This record gives sequence, structure tokens and C-alpha cells, in this order.
Amino acid sequence: MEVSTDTPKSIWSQILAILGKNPRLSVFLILAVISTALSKGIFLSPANLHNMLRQYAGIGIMAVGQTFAILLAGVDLSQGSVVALVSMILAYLNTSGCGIVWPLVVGLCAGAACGLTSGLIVTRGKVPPFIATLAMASIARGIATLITQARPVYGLSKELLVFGRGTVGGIGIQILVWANVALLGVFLLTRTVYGREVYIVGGNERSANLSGINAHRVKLAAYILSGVCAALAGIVITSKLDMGGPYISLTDNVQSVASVVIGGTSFAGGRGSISGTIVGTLIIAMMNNLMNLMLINPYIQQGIIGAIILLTVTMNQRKAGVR
Amino acid sequence: MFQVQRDLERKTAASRLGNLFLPLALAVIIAVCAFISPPFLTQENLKNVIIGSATFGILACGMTMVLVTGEVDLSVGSQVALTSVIVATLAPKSLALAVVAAVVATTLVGLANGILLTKTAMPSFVLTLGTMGIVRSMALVIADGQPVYGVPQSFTALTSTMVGKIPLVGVAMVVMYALTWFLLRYTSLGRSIYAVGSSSESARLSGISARQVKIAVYAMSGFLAGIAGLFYTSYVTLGLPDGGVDYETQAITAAIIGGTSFFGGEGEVHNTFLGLFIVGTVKNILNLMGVSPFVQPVAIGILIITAVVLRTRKSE
Repeated sequence: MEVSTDTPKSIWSQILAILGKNPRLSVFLILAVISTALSKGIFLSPANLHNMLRQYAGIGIMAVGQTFAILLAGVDLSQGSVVALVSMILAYLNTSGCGIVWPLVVGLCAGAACGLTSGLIVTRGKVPPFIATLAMASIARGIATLITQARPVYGLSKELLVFGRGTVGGIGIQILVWANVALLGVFLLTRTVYGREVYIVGGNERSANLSGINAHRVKLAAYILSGVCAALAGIVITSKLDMGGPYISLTDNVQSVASVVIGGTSFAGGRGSISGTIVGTLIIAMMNNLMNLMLINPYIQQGIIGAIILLTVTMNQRKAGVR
Repeated sequence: MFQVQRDLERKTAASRLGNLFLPLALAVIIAVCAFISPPFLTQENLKNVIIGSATFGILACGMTMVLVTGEVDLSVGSQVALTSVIVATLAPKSLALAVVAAVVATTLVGLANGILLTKTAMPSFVLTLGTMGIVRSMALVIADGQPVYGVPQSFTALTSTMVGKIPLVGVAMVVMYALTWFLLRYTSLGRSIYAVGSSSESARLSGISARQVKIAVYAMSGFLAGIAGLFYTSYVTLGLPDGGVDYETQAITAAIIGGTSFFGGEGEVHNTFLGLFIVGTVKNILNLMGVSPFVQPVAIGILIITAVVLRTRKSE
């Protein structure tokens, strides 16, 4: 912690200074306190917290993959569409008598394939990630709607519903999936050679290439990871909704990017962390949860999330500028 | 200054070569369309293509300027919704007031985007992602989440009004493109926009304020979003707070297919105009041929990738 060089200040200004240096934490804490106070404690009830986490597990899983793309100075705008595509594949195969193993395998492969395609377009085709994944989003959504001519698919088998509705030791399975994906992400980024390469390539691609790192391969792997995360989110979301929907997750992509950005990962690449992303997702989840508890006009939810993005990113940049 | 000028000359020379490619591509697409589907060239159908593209087209005009400065504006779709809600809410009192208020509102949103961008040095993607949500909420709160009725007949007639054989909205779009083209090519602001986009450093050295240029560009993008929103409102005949979703994507698509670089410094509005009609024509012919509408996004996605890959290959 830094010691203030100014004249001693009141405890409040010191607290403010600490919070100012940890924008994510401060927003998180302030929101938690406000949520608890305004909801008269309901916010902190285990049932409410559990519900909230179950609801945002899908976005949380996407955001972990998104972190890799953004750390590499890219972005994956196709995640929401991949969720819909995987959802349709799962539901269609499951209801046409393929059991549950094949639908899951094909769904995960489809997610990986979408990520691989985006990655190839970015690296081989030299298309900016924004454009490449925007095009991929369009293509994946198109294929998702083509499978049944845009009709949702109902009547999934019971085994498939486990991912969105089952619990292990009282904890929703999708929360466990989220936790595992996040842990795996943290492990990849902090404990493996690949993780170090992600930061190096994201920080400066030229010097990474000069030091013998194959930047293309690092990026390709990141987009595949992002696609697989989207596929996992697709499985969890489909199972929770108990249907395959071609138009689900239309706004989830924005929330996934917002989680990462609120979590302090720099859009220029090279700086950020999965733990930040998780806090980012939790901030969005808490915000929406509080509004629902308070029966606040739902129309301002998007605006509040927008304001939080602007607030935390400005604070992050102040912090980076001070350093 | 000489460096900037030389950069500009090189860029214009390169794009002059590229200029042949886009009109040729559009001509080939139109010829193929006319050949495989005779109804394509009927006046009624072409009118539909123009009306269907015009809102995106006006947005794409502003988006091109924003992209040339090396930034992006994701909030224009929400701004279209805001315009439509303001027009529908105020129109019963005074139509003129409603129209002016709506365009002033979006121009202010654009101005705020520009000021925030230059004050905070936030990436424009993140900043406008934030304002996209805020502006959407403004539209939803004003309209209380419901469609707003109250757009007078005289205003909804705007879309179907014909000037000669061209719908009014098409004429408005062409006027916007002509003005922007003139601005980019023959004014010092236009030259500054390219200079800032190709190299902020050399622009700064030659005395151009990147800050002022970017604020101006975002304000113009907001103004054009307001104009696009007016025609959108006239077309849907309602104030739609949840309208205009994803319109920013459509605008970016037209600009990118028209050869605008995502990294700034390159792009011209007349090429965006051609890009817009390439997209519009492809969508239209798929419709005419009775291809499932769900194939359209797949086709557009492939079109975007092909266009950008071809252009990067050519420039290398």
C-alpha cells in the first residue's frame, strides 16, 4: 500500500484513497452494502445469493473466455451467437433421440470450431478481431436459426436439465461449472507458459514474435478457449431454460465484455486478470439483483451498467496514470 | 505538414486503385441479380432496396468519419431509438419542436461521447458501449418501456413521399453523403480527420488538435444518427424505445465493406455508399429468390470476411 505524502488526513479520506486505488473492490463493496441496506438484508440471504449466482453463471463462464481474447488486444463478439448455436444443436440432437453425450460433444465441438474459425480469420486473414468476430456472430446466429427455421425446441430429456437445475451439496451445478472454468482460467494464465505468452503477446506482439513466441498460435488458442467457454455457457443456459432457443443470449455478449472491462482488463491488451473478471461479473449480477429486489424500473438497468462501465474504467485509467 | 500531405496523397492514390474494385463488384452483383431474377430491376423493388438501406446508410455516413479517426461509435443504434421516442412524445405538441429536440438531443449525445473520449482517453469501444446502455435507458424511461403512439400522419408520410422516382429518404441520404464527401475532401476539418486517423503524432506536430477533431466527429455522428432516427420513426410510425438495436453493426458493416480501415486514416464515404448497396442488393436478391431469411446473416458474415481479407491481401 502506498503511504500518502500529504499532511495526515481524516480516516475517511484515507479509506477513500484506498478505495480509489481499487476501483473494482470499492464498487463491489459499495454495491454490496447498498444492496444489503436497501433490501433490508434480503440481498444477503443464502437463497437470494444462490439464485443470483445461478442466473449469472452463463455470463460468468463466457467472461472467462472473453478475458483471454481481450488480454490479446482482441475481443470476441460472437459468444452470444455461439451460445444460441450450441443451444439449438443440443436441443435438436437431444430431442431427435441422440441421448445426451453426443449432443454435448457436438455442442462443445461446434463452439471450438466457431472459435477456431474466428481465430483463423484474425490471424491468417489479418482481419481486425472486432470485424472477424462480428461476422462470426452473424454466421453463427444464422446457422442457429436455420436449424429449425427459428422455432425454439422444447422437451429436453431430464438428464440434460441437470446442468441448469441440479445441485451438488446444495450448490447449483452451473455455479460449480463457472467456478471450475474460472479456476482453470486462473491456472492457465498464472501458472503455465501459455499464460505468460498471452500477457507478452497482448503487451507487444512484435517483441513477442522477436523473442520466438508464435503469436498466431497463442491467439488461435485464445479464440478457441473463448468459443469453448461460450459453448459451456450455452449448455448451462439451455439446461436452465429447458429449451433450445435461436434468439437467446442477444445481450449476453455485451455483459461478457462488460464483465471483463469492469474487471480492469485493459482493452489495449496485456493487462488484466480472471479474478478481476469474476468481480466484474459479480458487480453486474449484484446490480441487476438489487434492482429486481427493489422493484426498480428495469428500464434503467442498461443505463446503470453503462454508467458502471464508464466509472470503473475511468478509475482504472486514473490508477494506471498515477503509477 | 508535408509528411501529412504526402501520407494523404499516398492514401488517396491507393484508394483510387481500390475505387475501381467496388463499383465493379456492385455492377457485377447487380448484373447477376438482374439476370437471375427479372423483378430485381423493377422500380418498386429498387425503391424497397433504397428505403430498406437508408437508415443504416445515414448512420454509416457518420460511422465512416468516426472510423477514419480510428475510433468507433456503438451508441448510434440507441440514439436512433432515442430520436424516435422524443419525436413521438413531443409531436402532439409541436412537430417542428419534436424534430429539432430529437436532433439536438442526439447531437448532444455525440458531443458528450467526444468530450468523454478525449477527457478520459478511454477506448472508444468501451466508452460507447457504456453510452449505448445509458442512451437506451433514456429512451426506455421516456417511453416507459412502451411504444409511443402519436407520430402524426404528415410525418409518417415522409417515407412514402417520392421525389421524382426516388423516395425522399433516398434523396436525404444522398444529400448527407454529398455533404460529408465535400467536408472530408475539401475542408480543413476533413483533412484533419484523415491526419488524426493516420497518425495522431504527426497531426499534433502540424498543429491539429486531435481532441477538437474527435469531438466534432462524434457530434456529427450524433447529428446523423438523429437524422437517421427521424426517417426510422417515419418508417415504423411509432416511438420505439427498443428499436434500432444492432443498427451500429449494420453501419459498421457498410463502412467496412466499403473499404474503411478499422485502424483509422483510410476510408471514403462514397465507398461506404457502394458498400451499403452491395449489402442491400445481396439481402434483396436472397429475398427475391425465396432463400430462407435465416441464410442472410450467414451470407453477410461471409461477405464481410471476404471483403476485408481481399482488401488486406491487395494492400500488401
